[in-house]
Amino acid sequence: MPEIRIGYHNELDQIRADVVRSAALVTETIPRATDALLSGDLQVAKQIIEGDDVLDALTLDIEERCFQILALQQPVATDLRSVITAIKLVAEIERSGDLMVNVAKAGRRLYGATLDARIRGIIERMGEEATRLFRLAIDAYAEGNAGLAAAVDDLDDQLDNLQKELVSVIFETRGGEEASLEVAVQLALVGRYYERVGDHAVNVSERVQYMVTGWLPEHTGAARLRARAQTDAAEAIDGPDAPVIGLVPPVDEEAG
Amino acid sequence: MTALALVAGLVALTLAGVVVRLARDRAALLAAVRDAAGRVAVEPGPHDGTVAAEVAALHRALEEREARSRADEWMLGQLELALDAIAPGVVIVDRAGTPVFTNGVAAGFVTARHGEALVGVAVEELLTEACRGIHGSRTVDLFGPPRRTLVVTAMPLFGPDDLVGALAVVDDVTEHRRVDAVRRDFVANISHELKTPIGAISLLAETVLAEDDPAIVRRLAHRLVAEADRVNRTVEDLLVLSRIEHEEAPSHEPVPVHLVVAEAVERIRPAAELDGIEIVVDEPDHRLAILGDRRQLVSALYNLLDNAVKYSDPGGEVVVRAGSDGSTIDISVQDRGIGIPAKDLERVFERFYRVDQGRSRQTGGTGLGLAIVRHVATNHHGEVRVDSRLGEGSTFTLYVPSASGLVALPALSDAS
Repeated sequence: MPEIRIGYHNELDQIRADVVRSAALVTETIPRATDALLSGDLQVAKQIIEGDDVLDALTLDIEERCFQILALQQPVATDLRSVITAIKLVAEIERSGDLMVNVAKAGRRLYGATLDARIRGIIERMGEEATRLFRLAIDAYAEGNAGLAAAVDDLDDQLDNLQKELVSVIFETRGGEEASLEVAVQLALVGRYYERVGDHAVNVSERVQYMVTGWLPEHTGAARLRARAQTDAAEAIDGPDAPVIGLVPPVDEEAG
Repeated sequence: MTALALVAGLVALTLAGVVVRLARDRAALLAAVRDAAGRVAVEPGPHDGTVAAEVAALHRALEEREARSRADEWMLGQLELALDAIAPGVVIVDRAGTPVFTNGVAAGFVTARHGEALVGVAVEELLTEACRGIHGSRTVDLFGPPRRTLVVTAMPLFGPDDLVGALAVVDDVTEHRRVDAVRRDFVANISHELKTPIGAISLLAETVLAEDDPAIVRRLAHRLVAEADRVNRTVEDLLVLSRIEHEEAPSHEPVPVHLVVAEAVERIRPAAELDGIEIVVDEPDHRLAILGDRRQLVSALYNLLDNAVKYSDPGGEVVVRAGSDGSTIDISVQDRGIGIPAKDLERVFERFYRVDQGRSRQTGGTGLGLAIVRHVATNHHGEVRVDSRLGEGSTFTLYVPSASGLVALPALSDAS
């Protein structure tokens, strides 16, 4: 079939390329923020905090263009899913960038504190893991690879375990080191930031699966809910004494 | 008569008309030919102005022009091939900013993901500027992995009259930067390593001269000896390193691995016992052998053990293992010490490179141990690798090709 809407498809490709570029800003910022935190480099921390504005601007720009496509081109099927995916992804990517700004700010607050070697090691690894997950999720997006996207969820466990390990090491080393409560709290938060970046990578990969297959993990949950509602309805007919657990809470007569 | 005259007059008129029309057509034809010739740039030659001559000239001009365009096309193809073959990325755009040429390397950046996509962004932004006549350059530091540094430069291209487009060049300066850093740090570090003890010696000596209390003089003399020892060790290690570096062909005889391990462990044991660190030797198969220089191999393994002991906490454990995959022997030294930050991993084998300047003073090392290990490995056509985690410890592994023959012998019985 001859290509009729060349400009439209070019724009779709351009949006995809720009989503990949905005993600590149995050995958580059993760190791940079980790380095700034561990080496106490306030200069780099400042650059990261200011650099986030670029990501914000790009996010807004991509979103705006997606809305224009929706309004002017009325995309359907795969095209529609890819535009919606782009809108969802930029939000996940933008939030991940914010989390790395938080790490850079934590680097400022932790400036001068001597961190236990094991804690440094775990933070270093969390940074590497988060970068790896994010790269994989974006690889899956760029290639439209649902299989790869599905793998990201399993790989996220490692980041979760590292966070637990970090918290337990913080508790262990609290007694020995002169680390103040403030340092301990900051470190625990830093662990949380990386762990959240991993979660955002998982969200990205779920959205990629949706783009390719039209299926979301939430669909399984929704199907379970429907199935429960059906069995409940059936039970209600079979035995009127069975407790009613429905979708809609029973209407409170007095409250109305 | 009249009729005849009339006919004759008519014929004459007609003929005159034909002649006039012919003349007009010829003029028109000539004009057309000249016009065409003008378009293919026929030079006004010494032709006589007849149609045939003009057409011949036009034909010649057309042929010349075709030949030239073929040559141009060939040249263009060659230029494109040449631009594809060079290492830097090259993008050329017209004055509107539309790419007219992108070489292979640059195309990789334009469609890249992750960090490299940012190089594509830099190229586009700088080209937009260049199309407005502004030169620009930007350094893009990529954390990767792998870590890379790229320099993007864009410049406007001016034709004879006006701006015709812009050019962007992407240079990978990673290796260049690394070599620069190594050289810079080496000079700074070697002066530090030598100047610190020499400065101390000079100060101590001055104090000794001015001091009368024999107890204090004695204490100062002790410190003098310690600092002198330190300079001595550094110079000695430098000499060892330089000898290993320049030894073109170290003696190549089969060296049994278990003897190398035993000798190195024997040398480190006193220092290890002093710190309460246990050296655990996983006794290697006695058939394993390396073709090489025994003294160098022992010194390499000793340096690895020395580091492992220095960077372990008192009461710790250092494990030495050796094995083979049939063609390569691996000897590893594992500690449960402080570990090495990821960003320093690739630099620890450099001469005098220090992860932590403060700590190195306490351990009293010369900063040359790992450089010696790496050179011994290179001399034996092998390599040394490190795997480390902060706070969990490091494992250094020496890989060298195994000597053939001995490994093929039947296993020694337990009795032997």
